[in-house]
This record gives sequence, C-alpha cells and structure tokens, in this order.
Amino acid sequence: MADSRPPAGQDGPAGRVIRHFLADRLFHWIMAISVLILIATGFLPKPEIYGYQFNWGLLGYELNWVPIHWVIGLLLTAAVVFHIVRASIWQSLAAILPGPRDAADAWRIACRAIADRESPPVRQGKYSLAQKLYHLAITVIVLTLIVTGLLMLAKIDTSYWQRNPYFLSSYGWGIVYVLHGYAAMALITLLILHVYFALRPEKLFFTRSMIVGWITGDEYRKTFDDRWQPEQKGSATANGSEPARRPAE
Amino acid sequence: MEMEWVRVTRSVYGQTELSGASWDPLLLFVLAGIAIVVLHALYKMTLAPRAKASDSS
Repeated sequence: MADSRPPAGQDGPAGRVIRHFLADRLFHWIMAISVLILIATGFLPKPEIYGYQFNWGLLGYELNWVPIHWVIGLLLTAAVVFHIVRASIWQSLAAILPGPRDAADAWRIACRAIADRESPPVRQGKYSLAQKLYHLAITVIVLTLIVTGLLMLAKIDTSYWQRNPYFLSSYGWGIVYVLHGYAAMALITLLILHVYFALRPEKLFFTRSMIVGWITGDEYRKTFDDRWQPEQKGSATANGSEPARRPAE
Repeated sequence: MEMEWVRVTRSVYGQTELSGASWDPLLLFVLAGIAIVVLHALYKMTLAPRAKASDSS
C-alpha cells in the first residue's frame, strides 16, 4: 500500500510527538515496581511451604514478607483504579480495545510476511493488535490477582481490621488461592514477554517513550497511521486527541 | 514425573480441601515464556521480512 502521507516537515509532525503523558508513565512504572515486589514476596521461599524457618535475616533481622506483599498489593490496586478511571474518562478506551481493523491489520501483516515481503510495513493505530492482545491478557491476570488478593485481606489481622476467615467457605478460599496462584504464574510468562519485546531493537523507541514520553516525528510516520492523532511536544493542545498537523509551507 | 496442579489438605473432619495452586506448573509458565521469546527471535532472524532503510524495522 503506497504511503499517502507527506514526507517529514510537510503538513505532518516534524518534531517530537507525545505518546505517553507523565501521569501514564508514572502509573506504568509504579505498576512495574509493584509487580516486581509482589512477585518477589510471593514466590521467594517461605517457612510455611518448606516446613522450616527460612531466615531471610539481614544483620539478624528476619524479613516478614506478608505485610510487604499486601501493602504493595494495595498500592497496585490504587494505581490500577487510577488507570481505569483515567483511561475511561480522559482517554480513549477504543484505542486499546481490539476491533475489526485490527483483524484486517493482522491479515495484511500475515500476507506481507508470506507473500508480499517487499511491500512497506503495515502501519497501525497507536497500539498494534499484539499490544492490544497483550494488554487484554495483563488486564485479566492483574484484575484476577487484585480481586483475589483483596479477598485474602479478610484473612489477616491488621491495625485497621480484624481477620474474618469465615467470610468464605473452605472450598471458596481454595478457589481464591488457586486463582491467585495460577494468575501469578501466568504473570511470570507475561513479564518475560514484556521485557523481551521492550528490549527488541525495533521496539526500543516504545520503551524510550515510556521513560521520556515522546517519539520522533519520523518514528511516528514510519509506524503509525492516521488512527492515532498525537499531540506534538510543546504544543498547546490538550490530551493528545487533536490532530497535530502543521500547515504546509 | 507426576505433576500436581493443586494442593489439597485434610480438614479436622477428614474432608479433602482445596488449599491452593501447586507450584509444580511454575516451571511450565517460565518455559512457555522463554519458548515464545526464542521462537520469535528465530522468526525475526530468519523468516521475517527485512526492513528497508526507508521503512520501519
């Protein structure tokens, strides 16, 4: 398919375009650090599993992982609630939900890989089909972990509430633990995939944009089509929802 | 090697109760992630269309 967009500098973003605003980048990195801490405190050896007192002590101090796990779990919950509210109200849910055009893109990508290797790469919207499917998977996994984790808070004593282990039946608690465990293991798989794709050479500009917030106009023109109308860095428009077209000179 | 998928215990009444997920499948999840990474890397190195200088990679 011929590129109908003008070359750089003419009626298109010639400078940096904003891909992720600061609030979204902060959410991403808070979620990332939270998930890593939760995985560490969830999977590292614990006394009740191995049947002996596993001392994580450093300088004689024994680390109790349970409070760390649920406090960071609450931080993750707050971050996810913030993201859901922001994405639903201030941003576009349609940008991340797979749709018919994504299926058409997937077909064109497959055709290009098999039978039309000389054609230019298929451009997509702000998020590719692969990114949308990954986001869908991580949404299901993390929401499962959050819901089951919040239920499990009923089984611990804290300064704010007393435990109530009879909130669910024994069988019900078993289901909660199984869901939480398998969702946690699936999260490991998704984490491996996410780090791999974030470090792929052709994807590094995505990773950079999650740190500094922008991509170059050239990267935008090569990768995305007009389904994504970004805001240019330094412009007065709000929220990346208005076209960032510069008048032709 | 027989793999356990869930952990079960016996209650004080002698009933079998579900107590949680078994950690035996953890290695499968890790290996699945690594397998997808390896397969994708091999695909990009061998079969994927090559990016031209004027295209994105």
